[in-house]
This record gives sequence, C-alpha cells and structure tokens, in this order.
Amino acid sequence: MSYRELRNFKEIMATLGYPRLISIENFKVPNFDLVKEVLLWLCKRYDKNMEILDETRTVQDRVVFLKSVAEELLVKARIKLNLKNLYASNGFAVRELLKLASLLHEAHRNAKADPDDTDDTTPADIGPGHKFADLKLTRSLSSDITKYGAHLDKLLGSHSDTKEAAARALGKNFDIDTLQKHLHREVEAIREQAEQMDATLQNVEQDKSNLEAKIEKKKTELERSEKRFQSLQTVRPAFMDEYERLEAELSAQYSLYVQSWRNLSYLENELDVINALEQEKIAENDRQLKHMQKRLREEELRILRGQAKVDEKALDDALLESNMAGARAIKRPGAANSRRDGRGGSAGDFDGSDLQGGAMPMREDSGDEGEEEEESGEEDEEEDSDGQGAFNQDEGEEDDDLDDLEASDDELEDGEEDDIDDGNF
Amino acid sequence: MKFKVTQLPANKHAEVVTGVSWSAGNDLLSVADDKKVWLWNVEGEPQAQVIETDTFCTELRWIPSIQGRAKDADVFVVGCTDGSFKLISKTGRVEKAVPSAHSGAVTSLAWSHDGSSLATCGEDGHVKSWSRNGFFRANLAQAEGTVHTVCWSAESEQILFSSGKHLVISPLQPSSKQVMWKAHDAPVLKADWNKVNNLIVSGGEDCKYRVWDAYGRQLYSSSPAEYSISAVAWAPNGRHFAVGSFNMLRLCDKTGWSHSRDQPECGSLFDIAWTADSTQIAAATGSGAVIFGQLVQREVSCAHLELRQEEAHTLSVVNVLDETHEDLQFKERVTEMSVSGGHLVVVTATQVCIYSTTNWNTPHIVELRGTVSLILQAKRHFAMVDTINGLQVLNFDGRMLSQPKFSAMRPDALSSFNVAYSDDLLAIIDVADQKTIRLLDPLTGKQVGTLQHSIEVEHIALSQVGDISRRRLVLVDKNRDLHITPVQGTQEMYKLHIMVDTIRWNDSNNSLAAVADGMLLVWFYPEVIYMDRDLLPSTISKQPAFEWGKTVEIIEFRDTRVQVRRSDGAIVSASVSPYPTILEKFCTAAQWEPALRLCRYVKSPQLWACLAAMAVAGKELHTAEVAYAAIDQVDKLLYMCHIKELPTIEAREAELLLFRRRQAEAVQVLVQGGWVYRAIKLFIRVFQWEKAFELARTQQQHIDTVLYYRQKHLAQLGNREETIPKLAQAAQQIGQLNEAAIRAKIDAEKARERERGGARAAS
Repeated sequence: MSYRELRNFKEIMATLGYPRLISIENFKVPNFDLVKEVLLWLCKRYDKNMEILDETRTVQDRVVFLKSVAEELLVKARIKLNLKNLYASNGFAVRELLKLASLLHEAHRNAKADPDDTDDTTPADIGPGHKFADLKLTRSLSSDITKYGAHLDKLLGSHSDTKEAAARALGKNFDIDTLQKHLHREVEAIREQAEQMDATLQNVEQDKSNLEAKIEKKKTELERSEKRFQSLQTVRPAFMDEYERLEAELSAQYSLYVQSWRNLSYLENELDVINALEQEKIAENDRQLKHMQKRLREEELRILRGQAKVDEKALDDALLESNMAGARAIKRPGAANSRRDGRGGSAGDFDGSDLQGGAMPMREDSGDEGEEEEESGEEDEEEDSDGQGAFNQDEGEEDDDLDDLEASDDELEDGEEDDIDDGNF
Repeated sequence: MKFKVTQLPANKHAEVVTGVSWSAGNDLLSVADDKKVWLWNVEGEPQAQVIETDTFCTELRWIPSIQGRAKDADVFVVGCTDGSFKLISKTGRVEKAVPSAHSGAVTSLAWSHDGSSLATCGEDGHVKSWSRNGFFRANLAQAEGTVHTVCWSAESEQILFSSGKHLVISPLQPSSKQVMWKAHDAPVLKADWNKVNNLIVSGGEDCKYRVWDAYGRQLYSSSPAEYSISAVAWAPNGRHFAVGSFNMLRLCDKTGWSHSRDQPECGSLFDIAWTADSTQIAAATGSGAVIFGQLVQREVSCAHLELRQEEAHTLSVVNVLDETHEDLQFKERVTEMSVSGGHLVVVTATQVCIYSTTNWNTPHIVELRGTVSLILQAKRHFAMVDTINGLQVLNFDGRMLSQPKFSAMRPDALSSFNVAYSDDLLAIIDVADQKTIRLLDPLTGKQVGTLQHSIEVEHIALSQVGDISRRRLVLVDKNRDLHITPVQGTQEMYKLHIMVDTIRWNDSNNSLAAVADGMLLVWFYPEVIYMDRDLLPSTISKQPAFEWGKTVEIIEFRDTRVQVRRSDGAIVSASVSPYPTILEKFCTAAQWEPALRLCRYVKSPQLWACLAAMAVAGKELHTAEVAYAAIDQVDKLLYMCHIKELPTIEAREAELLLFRRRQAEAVQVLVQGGWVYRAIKLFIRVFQWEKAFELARTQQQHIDTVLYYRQKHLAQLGNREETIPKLAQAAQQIGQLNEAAIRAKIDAEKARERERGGARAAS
C-alpha cells in the first residue's frame, strides 16, 4: 500500500483511458468489485479474446475468477500475479494490478514513439529476400483485415446507440482553435446574414420612400379637392334667388291652403248640424200632419156616424190653425233647401256638392269670403225666385235667416283668426 | 492572457516527474521516478543531471531565498517514498538525510516563507516541522489517513494541510484553535496559500478547484473538470494561479475565473512551480516531460494607451486616439509593466526601461538585480518592489530617490492592496501589525507618521489630486467597512460605508468609487465629511450593479468612466456624472459665479450639495447661502446668513470652523485674534463652563463674566448649588458680582468688534 504506486497506477489508468476516475482513497478499504472491474478491463485491453469467467458472487467464484485471470495472464503475458494480494484487494492488490497496467502503459508509450521507427524501417524491409516472410505476413494481415472489417461494421451498427454519449463527449472536450474556427465561421455567416438584412432593409427603405411619395401625392390631391370644395361652397348658385323666392311663395300658399281647408271643414260641420236639425223638423211636421189627419178622419167618422155634433166654427178654427202651423213648419226647411240647392241642387246630391265645395276655397282669400257668401246668397235668392213659389209669401223672413247666416259666418272668421294666431301657423 | 506552452520533443526523465521547483536565480530542478534530479535553465533547456537518488522522490523544494542571504539558497529538499527527506546542495552533495521522518512516504514538503522551517506531511497522517538544517522541531498535527498537501500561511504562523476531504488550518501556537472545513467532495490533493493576497486555492479528486480566504470561506468553486485536479499553484504576486489536471493546464485569475486552458499531451500535472517574477511556470507531468509555460498576451491600458505583451520579448503599444501602433523589442523577457500618466515602465529580467508615452525611442534604462513584484506610479515618480533592494522610489529619469523602509517591513508581502502611493506620500499597511498604517515620505524615505485603526486593515488607497493637506486615505478593514481619514494632523476616521467589495480613487479628480451591496457608489466630494457631513448622503451617486458579484474589482476610474472587472472576469464600464468634476475645478479656482451658473443649469440637488460643501471649504459664504437655499437646508442657510453678518474676519472664520465641527480650532482662531470674550461666549453657548473658565483664567479676562453667566444659568435651573468646585472657589474670591459693570464690559467688547470689523472691511 504505497502512496507512489497508487499515484502511478492512477496516472497509468488515466493514460490508458480507463473510463472511471480512480481515487487515491479507493483502495484504502478492500474493494473487490473495483479490483475485478479493473482486472477485467486490463485483460480485455491486453487481449480481447481472453476468456475469463466473470462470476464473483460467492467466495468460491471469486477465487475461481482470480485463478482464471492469473492463468491466462501467465500464459499470454508472462505475468505472475499474487492471488492473495489480489484477493485482499487493498493497496497490495494495486501492486499486482500495476504489473499488468505498466506493461500496457509501456506498450502505449512505445506505440507513440513507434511511428518514427516504422518510417525508417519499412523501406529497408521491402526487398526480394523477404518474400516468404511477406507472404505469411500478408496472409495474417488479410485475415486481420476481414476481422477488423467485421468489427468495424458492428461498431458502426452500434453507432446509433452510442451517438448520444459520443455527442456529449464531443461537446465536453473542445479546444480553443476549433472553437475559434467555429466562431469565425459563425461570424462569417452572421456577416452574410447581416448583409442580406441590409439588402432587405434597403428594399424596405425603397418601398417606404415609394409609399411616402404616394402618400404625399394623395395628400396634395386631397388638399386640392378640399380647396375646390371650399371655393364651391362660397359661390352662390344662379338659381338660388329664384328658388328662395319660390320657396317663400310655396310656404305662403301652403299656409293659405291649410287655412282654407280648415274653414271648409268647419263649414261642412256646421252644414251637417243644420241638416240634422232640419231632418228632425221635417219628421216632426210629418208626425203632426199625420196626427192631424188622423184626428180629422176620426172627427169625420164621428160626424159621419153622427155621434157628435159638428161644431163648424170650431172646425174652421182648427183648420185655419193647422194651416198656419203647417206653413210655419214648412217655411224653414224650404229655406234650407234653397241653400242646398244653391250649392248643388237637391238633397240627394249632397256628397257631390260637398266635393265641389271642398275644391272651391283653394282659390279664395280669406278676405274674399264674405263677398263670396254674399254672392252665393244673391244666387240663392235668384234661384229661390226660380224655385217653389209656395214659399214666396215668406221672403221677408228668409232675408232674416240669411242675415243670421252671415252673422254666424263672421263669427266663424273671428274664431279662425284666433286659431291661426294660437297655432302659430 | 494565456500560457505559451513549450515542451522538449524527447523527455529527459524516463518515468513520472513528481516534483519541480524554481530557485530564486530562476534555475529549475525536476525530480522523477527514475530517481534523477535534472537542472534546467529559464529558457526550458536541460542543463545537467544534478544527482541520482537512491530512493523514489515525491517532491522537491528549493529553500526560498532570503533578502541578503542569496547564496544560502543553493540547497533544496526532496521527500522520499521511504519516509525520509534529504537536503541536497545544488552541486549534488547530500547535506543531510533525515531517515524515517514519517512512516510510509513523505507526501509533501513546504518551506516557510522566510525559509527558517520546513513542514512535512506523510502517509501516516502526521504533519511535522523541522529546522532549516533538518532537525526535528515539533509534531504539528495528526490527521486521519494520508495528508496529501501542506503549506504555510502568509506570516508563517499557521499551517494548512489536507485531511481527506477537509482542509485544516492549524496555528503553530498550540493554544490557538485550529480551523477545519470540508473543502471538497472527494480527497483534497493539493492546496496553496498565497502570501500576498492571503488566499488559498485547493484542488481535489472531485475534479474541482476552489478558492478560499484565510478563514475558510469559499470565494470560488469551479465547474468539474474531466479528471481530478492534481496540482494548483499561486503566482508569487498573487494575481493568478495555475491549475493542473490530466492533460490540462489552466491559468486562472485570483478570483477563480480562468484566463486560458491548454491541453498538453503529457498526462497528469503533478506539480506546478512559478518563477519568482510570476511570468513563467514549469510543470511536472506523468509522461516524464517537464513542460514550461510562459505568460503571454498580458494587457494593460491607461486612458488612450493599450499595451499588450505579444511574445515574451515584445510589447505592442496602441494609441487608440490616432490608431498609431508601436512595437517595443526587448533583449530579455518582460516580467512586469505599468503605464500611467505619461510614462510606461517595463521591467525585463535584468533591466527597467522607462519610456515617456510621447517618445518610444529612447527609454531610460536602469540595471536590475532582483525580481520586481510590484510597480506603482505617481505623477512625478514611481515606486518599485524588488527582491534585492526591497521598496524603492525612482524618478522617471531612472534615478533612485529613496528607499523607504521601516522595521518589520516585508517587501515580498507588498501588493497594490496594502500599499497606497501618491506624489507626496506612501502609505503601507504594517504586515506585522495590520491595524497600523505607516506613512512615509517617498522623497526622503523617512516615516512621517502612522495611522491606527481598531481592527485589521485589508486595503488602502490614497487620493491622487491636490497637495498633501488635501490628501485623504481610505481604508477597508477586515469587516469590509470603508473609512476615510486625512493623512496630516490628527487622525479622524469616518466610516463611509459598510460591506464594501472594492474601492478606487479617481485618477484625475477627488471622487471615490466603491462597489458595495450590488451598487456602484461614487462619492463625488468625499471632503464633504469635513465640511458638512449631513450632506454626505446627497453627494453620493448610486448605480445598480447586481450582476457584478462579490469579488468584483474596479480596475480603472478615470474622469467619468469606471472600469470594473466582474466576478466572472468580464470587464464592464460604467459612467458617472461629469458635472461634479467641473464644479470642483471652478471651486478650486475660486470661480464662484460659473460654479453657481453650472448648478443652476444642471439643477441637480446632488450638485448643489457638492457646491455647498465646496463653498464652505472655500469660505465663500454667499455661494454657500445660495447652495443651501437650493437644497432646502433652511437651518444652515440661516446660519450662513448669521455668519455673514458677523463684524470681524476672525469671528466669521471661527463660526465657520464651528460649523465644520472644529471647536478647538475655532477657539484658537479667536484667541489669536484677541477676541477672548467671543471665545468664552462660544464655550458658554454650549455650557462648557469649565473650558470657559479655564480660558478666562489663562487670559485673565472676563472671569466675572463667566461667573455671571454661570449664576444666571443656575438660577434658571432653579437656584441650584454650584457643582463645579473651581467656579465655586472663584466666586468666593470675587464675591458679589457687579452686574452693571459686567454688562458695560460686554458692551465695550461688542463695540470694539464692530469698530474693528468696520475698519477691516473698509481696508
């Protein structure tokens, strides 16, 4: 268990490329697993085809394992191992392991130095005198080539499995030069990219300037249009005066129309009322007439039967009285009729006269109304004179009625004017 | 910066090389498992085989050369695997062999820095100390298992060794306690303790190297390498360390980040040795090769000049202003260089070349014998530390001005941290007693004074601008507290900040930069402490610097630019406001109007605060008034107005001194001017009755006035008894006080002041 041997063993194993780090403290306590692992690895390094039983679960197995290793090594490498020390797997085992390891290390160092030697020796070896030896060598080499070829194939096959580990290993161990080269390449790529970017940037700039020019053009156009619009707004069109005048006229006309329409509506309403009253009076007269006729008939019958004495005087009075009453009753409808006739003839044509009357006030000023009425009144009188003579005796009373009508018309006019004021026409 | 690695094509040693060591004269010895010891020269050429030993050797160490005893240093020691060690002379004679020093192999050896004792450790877990001649001194420690490495502390009072995964610092005095901590996750293989920066670096089988301070606090931990770290070594100047592993050599900064990485094909590096000038290493390798690494591509810069050491013998100077390029060739390898102000100092192996930055053709050359470890430049001269002459001050013509010295000065321990240098002063932390800072005159080399701090000081720096009366020294102590003090007159420590990582004065003005708590702090006008320390917080600029880390270093602070090296080694720049500098220029030239205009233009309270302090320093009351008004300090504004109205110059000066918290000086000014009453009144105002009485007594004036005021005071407090015996005695002597007479006297004094003040003002 020596400090120096442990240190050298560690160094040699690192040089040989043992995949695990060996610590200086690893063999402080017996560690058979490590010894076995190292031993196996070294044996494989020495000869790949070495056949070793690597069963070490029981004590017996371990002994067998060590024995087999020692035998193999004795035969193949002429190394004598102390099995006791190995089995103890402490510092003394290191000494045993070191025997094998230093052998490999020596080979490793010589291999490094070799290339120079072979360069010198190979030309000397080639010559006619060595043909036989060459033949042998070639044979073994050719078999080696196939063997290594197969192995290489296998290794390449397993490449995909070890890819990740390889990548990690590659990633871990980089040197400055390659890094620098990579960096340079990267820099180059970036520079190119930057140039490209510059080009695109320039294109974009160009587009931008184009667009800006367009915008500018549109803007000036817009400005021009706006100016024109404003100038147009300030100019007064030629027909405007006429239009305004006509408009004012139209509104005046319209208000007139509305007024006339209202007057007409009012008057028609009045007419309806009067008509209704007259209808009622006619009905009343008819009823009285019938009643009187009935009474007269009964009287006549009674007289005929002789049941009652005929009071001649009373009868005359009664007749006279009834005539008087009838004349009075008839006179008013007659006046109404004449008026209606003045407008449109008979009572049956009432609707048609209504339409006619509706159209008429449109062309009338409110001031003319009275005159119209008067004219129509005169017409009425003329027609009346043409009409039923039965009523001629009552002309005076008719005039009274006409006066009444005119008065009512005046009243209506006043009311209308008030309405107009109120309604803000 | 990186190593230029060279290696002989054929190995001189057949087996694993186990130890290398440089002598003071730059001779290298290597020892290997083929039992041969080879001598190499500094160029890496093998010279001769010194001796063939009879046992395997594990390590080899030269006795360190001691100043004045250089010829003794021709002896080296080798540790052997049989547990012995041998002292062997350079000629190959075995001077002394100590058999069975340890049971099992001797794993490591270390000489104390003064070369007086040797420490050995071995497989048996013992750590032992031996005298220079190989006599056993003491068993220092006993550890479990193999002790792989041992080294001495900076003062050689403690010893560091590994114990499994732990590192142990054990003091030589058995009474003190030893410190032990878990350093690595696997056994520690190597450690080194630098005497200049007092840091420890260790490497272990967990494939990491770590940097520790002397108390075992971790400063850095590397990411794991592929193989275990088998060698670590500090450069003697403490700025770098080298790390070796299997097929790997790293150069790292002292804060841990790595400058470069090489992959020589040579197996594990078992030992690394630096030359005394810290420019070259040699490494013992597992393949039997001894590899050499020369530091190249070192860079220094100053303002517009950039220097780069391209090869061992050449320097290239680039002036970035006009893009001019200059190549300087030297006969020897360049070991040290420094550029500052208008001069470049280059140290080669045997010469010091002093260039003016305006003329690269004709340097002043000084011959050199020792190895230079430090160069510090001031404006008119520079200081240099070498191994033969120690600390020396030279002017830029190469003439030596002085050799500053004090007892217990250790030139080899001087570094840019414990030495501060300016044109008129040299401050050095006393290594023997780190609470003391010694002040020396660089022109005569005499000690002019000392500063005493309550705890150990770690870092000092001197302001660079102004004369010695305005020179300020800042120091960072063990608790990382930042203090400032003037260097002349009485020592007045004032704590500026706590937990400071690094500090630096501006090269061109009086501002101070520091990194603390993840902030970059700049004190634009540290003088404010002696003017009006209430203003201090408002004259500091703070910039966030969170990502800079704890081991940050300010490498340059010039004009408005702060250059900082972060913990990860990246150099970043920060800029500070230029206005305070301009303002200071105005104020030192007494141009108050432009100063006011500048402040009004900038409108920053910070600047106004600076101006207020500068105005108080310049005794310019009007400007001070305006400045205080601008920062809303009404009380101080009113006080300034009050001072302005005082009649005499002395009174004004005294009041200003009072404002600056200098009562003693204020009284002195008044007494010298003959204004005793005012001086007495000054004491009475703050109820310092005894001082007032003492002054009155020594001047034989106004004793009754003092008594009168005292009695009035006592009456106000409710007719108390007199408690000051002196005053009671005086009162008895004088008897009844005549109030009217006293009043008259006071009025007379006031009238005299007014009269005189008026007269002075007129003249």
